[in-house]
Amino acid sequence: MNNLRWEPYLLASCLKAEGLLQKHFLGEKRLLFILAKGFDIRMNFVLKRLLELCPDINIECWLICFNEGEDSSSHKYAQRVQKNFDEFKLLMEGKKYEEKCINLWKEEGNRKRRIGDREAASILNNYDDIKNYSEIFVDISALPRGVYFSLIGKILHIIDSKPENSKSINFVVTAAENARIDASITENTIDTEGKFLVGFMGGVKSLSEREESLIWLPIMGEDKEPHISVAYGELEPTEVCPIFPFPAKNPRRPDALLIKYHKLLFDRLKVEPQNIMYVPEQNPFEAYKILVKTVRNYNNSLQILRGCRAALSTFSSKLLSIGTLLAAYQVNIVDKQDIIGVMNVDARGYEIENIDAWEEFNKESELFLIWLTGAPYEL
Amino acid sequence: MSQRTRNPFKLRASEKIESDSTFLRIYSPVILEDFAEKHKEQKLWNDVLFIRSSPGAGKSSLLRIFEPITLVTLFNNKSNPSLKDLREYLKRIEVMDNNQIRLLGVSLHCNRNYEILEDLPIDDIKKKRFFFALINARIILATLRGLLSLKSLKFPEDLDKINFDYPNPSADTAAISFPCTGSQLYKWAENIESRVYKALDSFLPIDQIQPEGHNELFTFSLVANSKIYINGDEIKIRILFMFDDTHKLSLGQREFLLKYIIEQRKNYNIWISERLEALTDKENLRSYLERDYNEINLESIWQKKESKFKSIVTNIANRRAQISTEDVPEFDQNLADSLNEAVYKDDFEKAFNVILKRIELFSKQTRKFVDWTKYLKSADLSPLERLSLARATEILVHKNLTQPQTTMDMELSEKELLAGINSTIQNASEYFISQEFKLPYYYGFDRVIQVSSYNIDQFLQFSSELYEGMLSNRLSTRSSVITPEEQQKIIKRVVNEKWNELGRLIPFPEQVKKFLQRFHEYALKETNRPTIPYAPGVTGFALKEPSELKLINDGFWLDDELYQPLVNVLSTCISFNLLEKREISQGKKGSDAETVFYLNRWLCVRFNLPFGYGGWRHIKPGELIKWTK
Repeated sequence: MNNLRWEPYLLASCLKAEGLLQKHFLGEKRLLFILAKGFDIRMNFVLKRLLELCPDINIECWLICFNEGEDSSSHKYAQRVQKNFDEFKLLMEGKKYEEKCINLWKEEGNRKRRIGDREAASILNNYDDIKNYSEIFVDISALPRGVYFSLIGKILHIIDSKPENSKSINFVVTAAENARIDASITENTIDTEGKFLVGFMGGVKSLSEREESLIWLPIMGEDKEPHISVAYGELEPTEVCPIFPFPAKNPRRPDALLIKYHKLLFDRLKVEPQNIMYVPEQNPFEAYKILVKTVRNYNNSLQILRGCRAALSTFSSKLLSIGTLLAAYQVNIVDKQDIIGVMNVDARGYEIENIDAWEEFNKESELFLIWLTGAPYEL
Repeated sequence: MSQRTRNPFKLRASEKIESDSTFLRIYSPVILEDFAEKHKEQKLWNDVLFIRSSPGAGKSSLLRIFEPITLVTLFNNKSNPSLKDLREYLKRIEVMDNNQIRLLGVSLHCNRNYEILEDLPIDDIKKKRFFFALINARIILATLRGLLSLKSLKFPEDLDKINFDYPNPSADTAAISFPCTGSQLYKWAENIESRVYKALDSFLPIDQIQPEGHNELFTFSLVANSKIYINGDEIKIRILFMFDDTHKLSLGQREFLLKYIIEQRKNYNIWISERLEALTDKENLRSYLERDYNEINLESIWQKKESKFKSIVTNIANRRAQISTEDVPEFDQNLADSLNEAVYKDDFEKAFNVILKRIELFSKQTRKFVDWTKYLKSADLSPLERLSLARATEILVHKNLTQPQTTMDMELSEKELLAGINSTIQNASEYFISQEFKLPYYYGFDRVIQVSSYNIDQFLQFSSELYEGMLSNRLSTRSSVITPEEQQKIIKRVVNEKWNELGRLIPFPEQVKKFLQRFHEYALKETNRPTIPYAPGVTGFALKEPSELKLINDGFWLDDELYQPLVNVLSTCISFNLLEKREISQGKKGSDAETVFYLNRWLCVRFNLPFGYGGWRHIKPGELIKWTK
């Protein structure tokens, strides 16, 4: 039970990632590249870089097109979406791509609920859907958290339960990381309720039905007070262990976050100072290791009280969110304990500042490869 | 987790207050008086009772009182004088007496997991069967946990001390044979729950999981009609099934559940607590009086008992302040309730002169007000009193000038002036002075209560920030008292935050905000008429057809597709407590009550309107629909 599925791990960024891609795609490969059609300028960043580095690659794309509903404020960026799509078509000229449309919402009278996670997970059903590919890349650069979690979880699950003797698949999550672009996008209509993502519900029940303690491990990021309040209200945890990104590019970042959230954490959430934890800002695998270790420790310590369940939330970068995904996958599916839920609080729309400067900002985007299955783990 | 409570006003919803004793210490039981009345009318037990309100009115806190663990804590603190009121109320409704607890509350929280069942790729019949199975399982699990809590036994070790003997087993209960132990029943229910749960969460196809489905909600009968033994002794106790947050079910699930419960009506005690948003638009917009089922609407209770609401929030505020670790044990007394006259002396005098000049202008046209003007100048009053008198006089001057001319142009006496100034005019004067001369208006404990609009959570939103101000003042000045200016600043800040967050909280946010803005413009115009015909100001409206259309039903627009945007906006405003619905009787005794929609009082602050509920206007639906566009 102390083993870790991703230890050692393969994480590469920037030039190292580019070199790795060039080397990896030298042989006969067939790649399924999954990305989202969206307004984020990073939508084509990874695909473009990949095609520049490996122009002869045998690639097929699934383009996830999500319907955000009529009242989403993101509609005002339709031109931006079209521009990205035009660029995508140009990049994929002569190559095969398929649009996979999903609804983020299901409407019922005046009410609606999020179904994007379930819809995303259902774009593939079983191993037959992916058996013809040697590589699967999911690029999360323009995908919302509420969509890519369940999708990645499902792909991992299918690969892990593939028929014996079938060939291995290299499954890689890619991201174009850029703090300036992240900071220029503000979520403006936060959901009033949090949601456990499909495949990562972890058997967490409401307070009145719960028989064990619930530990909440939120990874903190900027401007997320409403998200944190909503998730806390939904979870009503026994214990909160806020996690701050550190080491970070800006070494003062955790201090700034702590000052910003002081009242919320200590007055409302009643956090004990010794519960504060840190994970490296740009390493999802290290975050995963820390999260898994923490949950296992809590669960062992609380065994006499019927153990515990844990809820993970990422209010920080997408890279770190992959760390929470891997931790939940490790404990729930690899360890078969099913005690971690991933609580997500989404937004109905986005506001963008400095959109004119995006082209410039995008030059600083960093390519990340988070290698999850396949060759590196079979050595 | 830490038990520190620096600012106890930040502990909001009951479910977030961890300890039962803390919850009991800060819970005010006045609301139970309505339950006692229902009990007296024999409408409380053996029936279905709906408990409804907009968010934050105290539904979950109310249900928490009836949970076994809370009742046990209360019962074990018999000598605690601060809990005496609550114990007395519970005795009156036969929940406990001096010797025992007489009720087992089975609490069922309708979280989103039920709703997710609707998204499974299976047919509707299976969805309904899984839904019923999940409710059945959770009723059993909650009952068993409740029984153990009630008898202070350990979970799960003592489940075997419980025995169930059910006389009417059915096909659905085939997997268990009665009599059975609590442990056997628990395993059966837990298995059903975990399989449904797995179906919701698994990446596997559902046919590989095969959860159990049920055709009936038979566990009401199983729990209510079984002979239950603990350690061999039969437990005879009233069982109350409490469904909390049924608005979180899907529309179909809520309909199945309510239909089943209401059609069965087998004298079970079932309480259904839900937000108003669960109701259809029509149910929300029509009068409460048209509902033919047993319902308690928490906000409408307070509307009828304003003084009780004041006593409940005073009680809440003081109980919370007393458990703070920061040694600021009072709340209301730290809210200054008058302006510092020494500080504002010059402002008052300047304002007085401005108003006096305006009155003197009228005196040039008629002799009527000459004595009034003289009195204003000579009266032995403080600057603030003189200013209030001047503004009230100005209102009376306007009223007098618009009345039909019945008297000659004769001077009106000082006595006539003082006789004309009633409390409505005094209130209006204070409001108009504050608006014209930029003086604080939204301050003092009474106004903090008013800004809460009969909603406990809203009261805590404002009071937590005001209490924070008291804590800061105490650090910086050693006095916890916050001035009227500081209070108004804090209240305005909270109001602005509430306004800004509307976009994420409600459906149709743009239309709702537009509608409220347009009503604000209208209300401000009507309020600021010189004769203040709707004193202290217009803050509400009733829908009225034009007189020539009297043959048309007043509610015709509810069924007209053209009016759907208005229905959406009004229904949203009611569900989310932006408009308060009140039944107002006017004129002759026995005349029909009007449904008046008043702005929630925090919106009055947003729009700089007074707090009084007196002023409202009839507005045609045709006019209102324009405000949504």
